[in-house]
Amino acid sequence: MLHTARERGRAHPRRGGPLGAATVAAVALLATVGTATTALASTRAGVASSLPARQGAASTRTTLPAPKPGVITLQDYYTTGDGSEMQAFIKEFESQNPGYTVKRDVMPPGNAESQVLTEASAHQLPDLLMMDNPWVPELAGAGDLVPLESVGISPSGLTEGAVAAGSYKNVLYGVGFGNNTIGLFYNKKLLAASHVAVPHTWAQLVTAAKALTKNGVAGFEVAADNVPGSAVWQFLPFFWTAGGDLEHVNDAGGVAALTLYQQLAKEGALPTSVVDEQQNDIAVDFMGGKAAMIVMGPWEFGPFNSTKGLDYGIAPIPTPRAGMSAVTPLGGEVWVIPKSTPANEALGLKLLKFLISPAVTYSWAAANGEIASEKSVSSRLLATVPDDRVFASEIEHARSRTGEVGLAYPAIETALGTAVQAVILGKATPKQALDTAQVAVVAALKQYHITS
Amino acid sequence: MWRETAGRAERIGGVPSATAGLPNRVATRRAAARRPDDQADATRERRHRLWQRGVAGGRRWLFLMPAIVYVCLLFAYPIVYNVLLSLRQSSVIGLLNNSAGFVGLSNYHTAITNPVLPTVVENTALFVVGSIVFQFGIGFLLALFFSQRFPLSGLLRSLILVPWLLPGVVTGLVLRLMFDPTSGMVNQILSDVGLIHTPIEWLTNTHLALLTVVLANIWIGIPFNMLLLHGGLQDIPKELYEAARVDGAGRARTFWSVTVPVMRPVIAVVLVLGFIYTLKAFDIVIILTGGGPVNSTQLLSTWAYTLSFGNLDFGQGAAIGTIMMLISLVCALAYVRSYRGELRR
Repeated sequence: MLHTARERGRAHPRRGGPLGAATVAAVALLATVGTATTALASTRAGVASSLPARQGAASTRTTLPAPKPGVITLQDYYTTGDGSEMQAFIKEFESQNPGYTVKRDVMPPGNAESQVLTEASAHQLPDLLMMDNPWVPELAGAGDLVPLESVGISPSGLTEGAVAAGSYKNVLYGVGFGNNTIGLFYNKKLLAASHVAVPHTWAQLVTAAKALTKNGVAGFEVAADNVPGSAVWQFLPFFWTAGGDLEHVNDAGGVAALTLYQQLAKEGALPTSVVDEQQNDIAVDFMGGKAAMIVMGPWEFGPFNSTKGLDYGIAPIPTPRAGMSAVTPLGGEVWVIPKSTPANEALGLKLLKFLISPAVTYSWAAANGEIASEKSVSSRLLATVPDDRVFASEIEHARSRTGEVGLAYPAIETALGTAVQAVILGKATPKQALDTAQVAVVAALKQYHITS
Repeated sequence: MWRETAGRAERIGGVPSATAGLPNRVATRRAAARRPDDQADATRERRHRLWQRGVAGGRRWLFLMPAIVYVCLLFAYPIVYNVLLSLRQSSVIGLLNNSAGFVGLSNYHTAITNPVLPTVVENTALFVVGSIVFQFGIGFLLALFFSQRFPLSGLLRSLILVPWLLPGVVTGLVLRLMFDPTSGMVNQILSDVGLIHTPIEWLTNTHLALLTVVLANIWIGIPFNMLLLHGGLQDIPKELYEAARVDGAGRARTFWSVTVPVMRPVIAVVLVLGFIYTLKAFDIVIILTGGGPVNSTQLLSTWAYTLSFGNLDFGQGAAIGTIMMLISLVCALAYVRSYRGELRR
C-alpha cells in the first residue's frame, strides 16, 4: 500500500511539465496524500499492512521484564450494568498498585469483533484485551497473542472449560473470569397451570411445548435469527447431544436434532417468528410471560430475578433419551495479551494477574452466574449459588465452538444457521437443509485446510 | 538569465493565459523574419514562452489537485484495494499477518459456483426491477401532479421528500417496528379495516420478505425520482404545449409527443442513477431482514457483507463487490454512450 501511494504521488507532476513552484507544491500535497492513504490503509479492517509486524521478537521469549509503573491500556465490552463492575475492579487495582493507571476503552459489543480485527491488522491492540472465546483462533493463528504459559500463567488450576475456551491448538492464550453455557429456563406458573412436568427428554419437550402453547403463549422458544451467532449457539446443544459433527453437519445426529425443531415448529409449539429473534428477544418474551420455556444462559439471572411475578426454574437441555448428559456450547469471554513490546506485554500481564485473582474472579462469577475459571473458586461458589448447579454440571461436558473446526467456524455457522431457519419455516426437510449446508461446510474446511 | 526570465515571466504573468497559449509557430515565423543578431533574443523569447506554458500547466495541475486528491483517496484507492483483495486468499489470518497469497480468480470461481448465488441474483434482479418500475412510475405521476400549480403544492412537495432525507438506518428501524407481525402498525391497520384476520408475517415469511423490502425501497426512492423528473418538467418550454394545443393534440398525445421526447435525457439519468442506487441498496435490507430468512432477501450487497464480515472471508466478499461494480460500470457506460448520441443528434 505504501509503495503504490508514493508511486502515484510521483506520476502526476511528471506529466505536469517542468519543475516549478506549482509542481513542488503538488508533490508536497501528494506526499501528504501518500501518508494519509497509508494511515487509512492501516486503520481499515483486514488490511494487509506493509508495516513490519511487531510480533517476531516475542515468539521465542519466555519471560517478561518486571513492569514499570505507567499507563495500562485495556479494552473490553463488559457493558452490563453500565460496566460498573469492571470500573470497580480497575479502581481497586489502581489503589493496590500506585503509579499504575488503567486506560479503559469500552467497545460496543456488536462491533467488538470487527474492531478487534481492525486494530490487529494495524497492530494497535491494547495491553490487555477481552475477546469472545471463538475469536481466539483468529488472532492466535495470526501470531498476535502471547502464549500465557510462557509468561507464567499455568492452566493447571483452571477448569477444563476455561482451558478449552482460551486455547488454540492446545496452547493457552486467554483466561477469563469464568465460563457460561445455556440451559432450559421454564416458567413455573405456566407449567403448573397446564399440569406439565419439567421435560428431560426430547419427547417430553415436544409434549410439554404443545400443552403449553395456548392463549397467545408460545410453548417453547429458541433464538433463530440469522445474525451470526444466535441461531447456531442455541441449536448446538441439541445438535451435539444427538451426536452432530460440525465437519459433517448432515450426519444422522444433525438430522435428528433438526427434526426436533421441525416437529416443534409443525405443532406450532415453536413459533416461526423466532427466525427474526435474537437471544435477548426471547429473553424479553420469557419475562413478559409470552414464552413458557426458553433456551437461555445465566447472564439473565439479574433481569429475570428483578421481573415482578416471574417465577422460573432451570433444567439441563433435554436430551434425545433419558439419562444422557447434554453437550452444550462453551460460552464466556477471555482476557488475552496481544503481542507488542516486552514493556507493554509486562503491563498487560500485571493487570491480567489481578483480574484473574481468586478474589476478583469470585465476585465477578457470583454476580454474573458464571462458572469461575479457577477450580477452587468455582467449587466455593457452587456451595453458595444453587441456581448455578445446572450450568456447573453442563459445563463439564461443554464444548468449545471452534475446537474442532477452528477458523472455518464462522462460515459453518452461517450455513448451519440458514438450515435451521429453513426447517423452522418449513422450506426444507432437515436432511435437505443440512445437505445444502454441508456444501458450504466442505468449502470452508477446504479453504482452511482442515481435513475431515 | 534565470532571474531575468523569471522576471519577465512575472511581468507577462499578468496577462491571461491567452498569451501563453499563442501558437508557437507565430513566434518562430517572427523570429525568422528578424535580423541574425536578433536570433539569440528570439530563442530566449521562445524559451520564455515555453517556460510560461510550463508554469500555466503547473498551475492547472495545482487547481486540479483537490479534485484529484479527492478522487484518488475516496474512489480510486478503495476500488483498487477491493480488486486486489478479491484476488487474494483473504481470510482473517492472511490479512492479519500479511500472508494472504494471490490466488488469481479463484475467489470469483468459488463465488460464482456457490449454490446460494442463483437465489441472490434472482432476488437482486427482482429487487432492482420491482423498485425501479414503481419508483419511476409513481415518481413520474407525482412530478406531473406537482407541475400543476395549486395551493400548498410547494409544501406538499417538500413533505414528500422526507423519505429521501431520512438516513436509511432510521427508516429501516421504523419500518421494522411497523411491519412487526404482532405489534406492528401495518397489521393493526389492515385488521382494523377488516382486510386480514390473521397477522401477516411480513418479514419472516420467505415469500413475503422480499416484497416487504421492495415496498420499503420503493417508498424511499419515489422522492428522488419525483424531484429530478419535476425539475425536467419545469424546463419544457410552455410554447411547445401551446403549439401542441393549437395543432389540436389531446392530453395523451401531448404527453407522448411533447413531454416524453423532451424529457428523454432526464429520464435516462433518473433510470441509470436509480439502477445504481438500487443495486447497491444495503442499509434498509440489512436492518429489515439481514438478508434472511433463509436467504430470501439476500441481495448481492448484503451477501458481500455476510461473506466478508459474517464468514470473515474478505476475498469472496470483495469478489462480489467487484462484480457489482462492473455491473454498475457497464450501465453507466451505456448511459454515457447514449447521452453522446443524444448530443450529436
